[in-house]
Amino acid sequence: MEFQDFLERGLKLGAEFIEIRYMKSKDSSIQYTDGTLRSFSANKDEGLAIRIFYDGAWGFSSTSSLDSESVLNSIEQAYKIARISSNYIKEKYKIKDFKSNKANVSMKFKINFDDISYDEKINLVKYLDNSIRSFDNRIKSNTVRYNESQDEILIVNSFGTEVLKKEIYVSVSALAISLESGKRGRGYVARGGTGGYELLKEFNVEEIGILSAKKAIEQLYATSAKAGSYTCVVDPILVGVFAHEGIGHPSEADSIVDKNSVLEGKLGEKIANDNVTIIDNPLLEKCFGSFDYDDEGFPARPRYIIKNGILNEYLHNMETSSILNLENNAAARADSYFNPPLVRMSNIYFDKGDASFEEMLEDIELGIYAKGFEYGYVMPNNGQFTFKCESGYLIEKGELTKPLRDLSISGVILETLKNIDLVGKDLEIKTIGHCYKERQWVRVGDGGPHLRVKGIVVGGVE
Amino acid sequence: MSEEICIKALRIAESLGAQQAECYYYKEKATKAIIRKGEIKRYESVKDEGIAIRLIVNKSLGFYYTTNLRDLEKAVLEAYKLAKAGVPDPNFVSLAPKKPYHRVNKIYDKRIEEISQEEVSEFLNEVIKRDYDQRIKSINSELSLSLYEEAIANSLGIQASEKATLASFSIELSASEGNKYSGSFEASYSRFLKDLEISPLIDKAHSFAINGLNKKMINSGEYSIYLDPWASLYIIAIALDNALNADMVQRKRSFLSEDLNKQIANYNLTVVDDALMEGAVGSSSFDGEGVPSQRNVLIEKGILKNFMYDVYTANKENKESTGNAVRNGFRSLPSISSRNLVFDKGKRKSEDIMLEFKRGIYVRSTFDTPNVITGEFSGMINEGFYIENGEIKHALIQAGLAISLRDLFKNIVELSNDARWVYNNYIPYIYVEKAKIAGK
Repeated sequence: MEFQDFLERGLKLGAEFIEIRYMKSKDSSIQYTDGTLRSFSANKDEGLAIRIFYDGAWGFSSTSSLDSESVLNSIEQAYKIARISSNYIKEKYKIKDFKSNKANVSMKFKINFDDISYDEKINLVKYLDNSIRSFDNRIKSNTVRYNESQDEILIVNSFGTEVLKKEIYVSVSALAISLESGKRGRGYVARGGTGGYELLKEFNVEEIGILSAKKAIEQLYATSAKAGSYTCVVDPILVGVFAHEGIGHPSEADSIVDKNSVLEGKLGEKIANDNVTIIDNPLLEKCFGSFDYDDEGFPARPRYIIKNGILNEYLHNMETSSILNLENNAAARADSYFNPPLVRMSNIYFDKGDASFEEMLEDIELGIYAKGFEYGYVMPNNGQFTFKCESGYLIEKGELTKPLRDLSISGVILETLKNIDLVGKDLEIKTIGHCYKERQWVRVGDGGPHLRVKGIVVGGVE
Repeated sequence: MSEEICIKALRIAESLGAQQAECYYYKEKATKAIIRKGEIKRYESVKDEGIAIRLIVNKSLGFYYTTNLRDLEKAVLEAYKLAKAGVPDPNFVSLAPKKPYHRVNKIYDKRIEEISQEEVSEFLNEVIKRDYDQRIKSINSELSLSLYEEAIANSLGIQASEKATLASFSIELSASEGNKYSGSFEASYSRFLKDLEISPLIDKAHSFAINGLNKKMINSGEYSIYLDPWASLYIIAIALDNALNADMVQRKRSFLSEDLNKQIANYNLTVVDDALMEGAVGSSSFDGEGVPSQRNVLIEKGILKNFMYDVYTANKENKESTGNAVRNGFRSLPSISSRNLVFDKGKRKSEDIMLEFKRGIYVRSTFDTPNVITGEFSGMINEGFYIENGEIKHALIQAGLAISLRDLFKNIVELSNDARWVYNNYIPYIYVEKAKIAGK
């Protein structure tokens, strides 16, 4: 049977809308730990997802068996569960009558992963591994990874959409652990993007390894910050995290619909200083979060979430755009065929301003330069955030002085946005990142320029 | 049937000239209901099946997985090609040797296999039809039921399979009143549907969310702390899971790397990893490499007794695997993790212990975890309460907690005699003397 026949079957059962998403992925990865090849893996993963909308309710079903009988069973199952759950729904809505989209797109790449021998890939990872350990004898352990992925996704639905897309990604990462007289440090660096094996020729692999080693060694001599409230200069990586966690997640319209966002009811309001513009752009070249069409088959465009301090738009999929009656801006993404698409970001960043790094430091008597990111979270209902930084420096009389460790910064998003007094003229977007939401991992990018923010609460062990 | 697929894969591996091989089969049928704003938002039904091959050629290991079971030959060949192209690992000795299993009871519930969609919906009524305080603004919940089967066979004669079920329920509530916000959550996991807690958990999250609205900042300083099992999950259990992982220890990445047989905690701390506990969510007859599950004492009366091993790390030290290779389906390699981390209980009820608090902090939850390399914890308290003379006075806003795990372990004054499951950890309430709290 063909996809069209499957769609027909769903409509015949009584579905108001049916979507079939087929996905095939082929990945390979290599991991070296402490000079030994620890894993060399590959896979082929293939399956179908069915979504049916019936009387205000969604039914979702997926299968990794692709014979006609299994697919028909899945369609019946999706219909059945949509029908049952519609009995329990009080506030019903209709899916808007969206236009159909037809496309056959592929991410740009020059060198196909399959044209590179296993030996060459292993040697690259081995070289990276060696660059870390041979850098300094205080490095006692390390792990390096290489990952390549090729996904093929076909989305067909009862609006007549037929979008076939190929997504190609590659990444390398290096983790270094240092040890000296009982003190330990950790350094992590990752590089990657959308594209083929040519990206690895663009990165300086040795530099990635050395950078991770340097970070780990610096931590041996870093001290903890004294907890308190400081003026902070925040580096582009951490600024990207702030854009992602602090603004991106609350602007995902499913959280607006669920009344679980600090940005609810604030469209058109001034929520930040004039110097703040935040863009989520799926069309950036080579970035991990990029795509031409989203996972519901809608064409992507840049989204200006905050424009000169004003909350301009939320991120939408078909569902939130229908419920809130706002334009769908193609933010639906799913991490696999066994999960439904959710409203997600792509590459989110603060737009650049005009301040130089020196200007930012100049008049700070006592402050903190916070760098890099280990992990963090935001409480969706009140916008309180905490980010664990990778490293940092004390700023004394306009100069960077002592290196810091175990640094965390926290605050409340809507207050912090108003405390950004300087926006840097440098703009750096981290092309590789991953975001977790409702048990799904998707690839994202984020970044921005350096920012200077007043009144940031800094936590430290001291 | 599932074991046969594995055996067939082994035969193909042998014919290709593999030194050793292992095939893992996994099949799952799951139903999930997602509730948002107190209404069913969607149902999900997932059918998943696949195999994972680990194959060794000249001490080099290749790993391949596929969802396409009809083309078993290609999958084994791909794994073979990877192994062949790989570099020998001098530390590789062997896959798991064959040993007898102890069957674990009560991990499969026939009712979960047979439940209809309509019956699942009835369960959700407990969430939907309940009365919530007007200040509760969002109600997010999930119910998930899963039936899975796993099988494993390797070229050393291991051949085993098992069927199990898992039910889980979670609820997240957020409350607001004027410009005050608060939120709480609860979750329960069980092998049997009848053991899944729903209503009592909603009550608990509801009361924490409402009580959390009365928030105040506290002064920075040293306080006694009283850890809820949820807080201990993040501050202690997750840290032990990593710090006692033999791979982390061998690579000196754990702050406890040099502490075997040393006193690392007060005598009242005993932690056992028991993969054979009847009905527990981390129990199974064998681990992800086919090693028989067992009960391992990790910390006894404050003394660090053992680490958690898989076959590879055990072979490195000429020891036997402790059965801690855990698989997460067929899509990833097995990795070392705890099975059911069980903390010894104390003598008194949690309420009675709290009554003695002159001035302390009840830490209900945090989302921060310690740095396992250094053993230091510093993070924000997500839900916390100030206690004075044994009574909860108010919730905390913007409070940080900092303590090194070594100090925390040594300063455990008492553990309660009531414990509860949080995921695969069984943890009592823990009273710790002195931790730094950052506030005003």
